[in-house]
Amino acid sequence: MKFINVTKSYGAKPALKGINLTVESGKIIGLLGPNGSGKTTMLKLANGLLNPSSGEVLIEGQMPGIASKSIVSYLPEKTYLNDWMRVGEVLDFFCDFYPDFSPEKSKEMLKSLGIEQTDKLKTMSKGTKEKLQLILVMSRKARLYLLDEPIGGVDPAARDYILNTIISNYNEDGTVIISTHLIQDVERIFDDVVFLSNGEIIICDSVDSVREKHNKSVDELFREVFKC
Amino acid sequence: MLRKLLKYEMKATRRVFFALYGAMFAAAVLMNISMYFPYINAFKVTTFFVMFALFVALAVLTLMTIVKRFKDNLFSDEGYLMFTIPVSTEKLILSKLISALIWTALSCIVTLLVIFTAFVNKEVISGIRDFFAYFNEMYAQILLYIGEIKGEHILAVVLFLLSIFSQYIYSVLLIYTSLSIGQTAIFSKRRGMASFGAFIGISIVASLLTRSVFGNLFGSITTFSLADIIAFNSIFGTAVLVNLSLSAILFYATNYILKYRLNIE
Amino acid sequence: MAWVFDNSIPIYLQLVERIKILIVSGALRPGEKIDSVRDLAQEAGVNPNTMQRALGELEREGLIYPVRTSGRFVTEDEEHLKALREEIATEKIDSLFESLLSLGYSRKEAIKEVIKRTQYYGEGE
Repeated sequence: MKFINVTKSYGAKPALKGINLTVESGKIIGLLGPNGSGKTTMLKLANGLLNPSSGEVLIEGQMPGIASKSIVSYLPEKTYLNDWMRVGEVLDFFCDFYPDFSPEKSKEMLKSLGIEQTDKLKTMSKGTKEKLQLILVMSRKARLYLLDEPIGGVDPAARDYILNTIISNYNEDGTVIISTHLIQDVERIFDDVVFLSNGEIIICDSVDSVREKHNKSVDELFREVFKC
Repeated sequence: MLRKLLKYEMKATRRVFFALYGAMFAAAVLMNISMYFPYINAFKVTTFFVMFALFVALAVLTLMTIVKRFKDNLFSDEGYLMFTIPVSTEKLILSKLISALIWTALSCIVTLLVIFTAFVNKEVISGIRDFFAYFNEMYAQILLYIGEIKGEHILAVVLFLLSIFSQYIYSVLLIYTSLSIGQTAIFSKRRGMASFGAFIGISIVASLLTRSVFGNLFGSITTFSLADIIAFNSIFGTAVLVNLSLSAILFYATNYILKYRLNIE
Repeated sequence: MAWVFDNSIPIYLQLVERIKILIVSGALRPGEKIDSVRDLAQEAGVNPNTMQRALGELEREGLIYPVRTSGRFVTEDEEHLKALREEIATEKIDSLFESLLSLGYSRKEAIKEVIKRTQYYGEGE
């Protein structure tokens, strides 16, 4: 994934100011920043849910489109599943539209969580829906996983489950980008971190090198950089 | 991919429609039965009003489905899924449009059947039998009036049906375009207003365009007679062409917005 | 579930230390096959690349060795393990003394305190 001089503004309000970023494959990257720093906007641009005001976003050398959508697995913050469906129908939907989706893999994970194929989405709790979405997204053998706040509002036990699911299921040749503002307990799964502040990248480094250079964890550095 | 999209589109909408169709047939049967009890007025009046309410509901449901399946499935949270599956925006629009047409056609057929069910009795059946018995006679009457049936007459019927069909497609696409324009509004609270404004604006422009086309082509025709088959065909042919051109413009405008001006919250 | 990490030290170095202790303590026996990078990473709750780096470091130090196609194994070089164990013990004792000195004990007093405490553990079984 590559961002070349990307800006995006909503009306007169700039959300991203000249982002340049190249992400190598095979890495897990943390996209970190306080709320409203532009994390979601970046992920939406990479998905083609938004178009940049200027500059270029490239996924494997191509602008976001049908080709890129078939290799990108995206977990938005929203619960995007249709309420009228049952779990089995959602699996069929993913099977129908994503050639790289493995229903066996997701069935296995659903089983371990005690979610049945016949369960209705309407009656599911928000937390269960979020886990279901993560399972769907991680059951694809994608080239790029874009996970927007996957551990946003969940309890610590669920957080461990989610992180483990990500580590044990992502495609090893693929890249994972995780946006979050909760860094503690998560930074150990990142290779590199990108700090985003008011639509600009202020730090882009590997986790181990942050620790070596600053003698502190990414979480501590984050608290220092974004001190109010 | 279009077939798959259509499959889920129909799946998402069929429950409500089938439930309503079922209710309509049930009401029709009751209404039919009520005819045999002319002394129980309340029964007759109630079934009549229920039937009437169900017809209104069907019309409202069809319209709501056209609006909501587009607005909610594409521009609400569900849009995050629909716009990240590897499917072209053209196919997304087409799947919505085709399912809208299918439901409308089905609803028309169901309406006819329901009316038939509600009113059918011995007299109606014999009336229909008479109609077919006298069909030859009527046919002869028609021939007497228009001379002989030629290609133009068949074309006239086809063009007439096509003009209604194309007008309907245009109306559905007008709704889609308006909703698409509305979602580009930066402030989400203004989206409804923006859509409504776009709807009015496009309608006015389209009707001005249509009027000028017809004014230029047929301004000289002052009187219009059904017997003038050439004039009839050229007017309805033009109407079909105008509707289809407007539909094409709206389709590509909607597609452009979905592709380059998408702005889901 | 996941391992606990210190904040200021690179994670891969902490992984190296952890696995070293598993090896010298015998939790991982000489010649034993160790889990795959992915499994270990999941157990520790870290990025597989980080675990890979830690294992690479252990390989470089000769504590584990890769066997083509069948994975990685703990070294059977007992001498090496013994030396490493002593090295770690020395480090621990050093840090113990350092903390005693920082409490204000003199060297002599510190040694005395340690000897006094060793009686609690018994002098050999």
